[in-house]
Amino acid sequence: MIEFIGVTKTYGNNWTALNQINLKIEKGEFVFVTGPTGAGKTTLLRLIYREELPTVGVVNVLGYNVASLRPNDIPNLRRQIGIVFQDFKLLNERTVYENLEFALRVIGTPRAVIKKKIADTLDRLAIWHKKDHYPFELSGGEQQKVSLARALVKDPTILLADEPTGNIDPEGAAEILTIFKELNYQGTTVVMATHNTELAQNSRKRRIALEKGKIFFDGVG
Amino acid sequence: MASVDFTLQESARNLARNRGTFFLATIVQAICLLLFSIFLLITLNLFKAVTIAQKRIEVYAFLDDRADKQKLIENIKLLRGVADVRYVSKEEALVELRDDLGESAGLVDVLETNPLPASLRIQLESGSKTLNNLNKIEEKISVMPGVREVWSGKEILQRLDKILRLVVGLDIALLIIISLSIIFISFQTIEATILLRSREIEIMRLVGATERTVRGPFQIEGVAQGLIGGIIASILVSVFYYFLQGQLPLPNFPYLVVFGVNILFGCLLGLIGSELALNKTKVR
Repeated sequence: MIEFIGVTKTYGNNWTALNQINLKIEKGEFVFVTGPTGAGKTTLLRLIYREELPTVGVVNVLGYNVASLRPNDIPNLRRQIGIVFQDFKLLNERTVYENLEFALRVIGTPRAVIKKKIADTLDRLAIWHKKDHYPFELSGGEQQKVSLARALVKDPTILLADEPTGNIDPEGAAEILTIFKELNYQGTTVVMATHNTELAQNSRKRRIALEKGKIFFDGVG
Repeated sequence: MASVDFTLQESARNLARNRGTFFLATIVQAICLLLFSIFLLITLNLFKAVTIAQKRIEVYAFLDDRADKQKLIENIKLLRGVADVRYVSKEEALVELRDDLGESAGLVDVLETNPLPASLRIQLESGSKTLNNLNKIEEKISVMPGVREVWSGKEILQRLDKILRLVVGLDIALLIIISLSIIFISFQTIEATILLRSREIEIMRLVGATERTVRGPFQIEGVAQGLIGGIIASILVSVFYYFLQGQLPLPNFPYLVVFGVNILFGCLLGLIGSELALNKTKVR
């Protein structure tokens, strides 16, 4: 489902974010990507959703070689990937409902199914009662749930999360992690980047540890 | 791809959020287009004047008393571009002069003899009323035996042609300046909107919106600016022309041309401005 073959990513100032990465993530896996700040976690995720291109090597995602993807095909790849960020990236002048509606309408979802999809997703994350609230009226944990809802509302095959618990309190973080596990149990492939190694170790899931752009651990625990 | 109503809705949201800048930019565009319309009208009327002058152009060949008019008529008719030749006798010329002098016709009676020569009035084919052709015909007729002098309205034509060239040159210069101004205004406004909506654009791209969906609302904003600016300019210039018609004998206002040119021109330049802004801010 996701495959990195000899991937190196170097930025303009000769800084190597990832160095000779080889990895494979199968359908339905839950993978933590851990490492300190600057280890290359975010770059790895950005390569998956084609926000970056590899300098060397091949990245295959859902059957697409992202480096040779034509610009017109990028939306097709991204529609199958849900992305959650540390800073939520919510639209503050739109309500929770409108944030989700916006994400669905830009990809051409028929109006007739939008309402049901949003209701189902918000209900699933237990925030339907917050649908008319604006993001700034919500706690960090709730905002992250909305961000997650926006990623899930389009039924993604892969869920990418970049430090999703970084800006929220421990209780909220635990709740978010539980939701991720449930989603994974239901079949969604989850790749979660975090600097919190302990959190990943306690989850007893596959962990890919990065340091200075290289994989130094790939296994459970 | 997102639906048309979504694109329009997002454009309206952009406009509402950025209404102050949009309003100012539209007014400036309208002023630019108004200036252009005024020059367009001047040019159109000048072209009309030239066409009318061209239609009236005739070549006069003044004859000696002993000229063989019949032979001259035959020879002139053989020249390329000549449509018709009419003989005007000395007496007819005097009658014409009396008519032209109107109330002062009495002056003619002072003359003891008729000093006016007989002439041939040469009508040209419509496609032959060019300076070049007039010169050629004038040259050929002037060497014919019995022809004392040849006169054509080419001086008037030359003068009108000069004015026309100057005005067209000014039109082109103005068109370039106005085009660049409108593109710049549109570019600035759309760039501001893009920066204001950078979060939305980022989300659109991340969730998988197509390029057309992302760019659509900004392109519409650029076109809307040009459209509204074009309509305002056309209305203002037609009002201005209406008042001018009361003072000067002007032909009817060319509504279709003015509205059409302003709207098309405004929309096209607005679209170019928005495309440049989208490319500069790398919204691809």
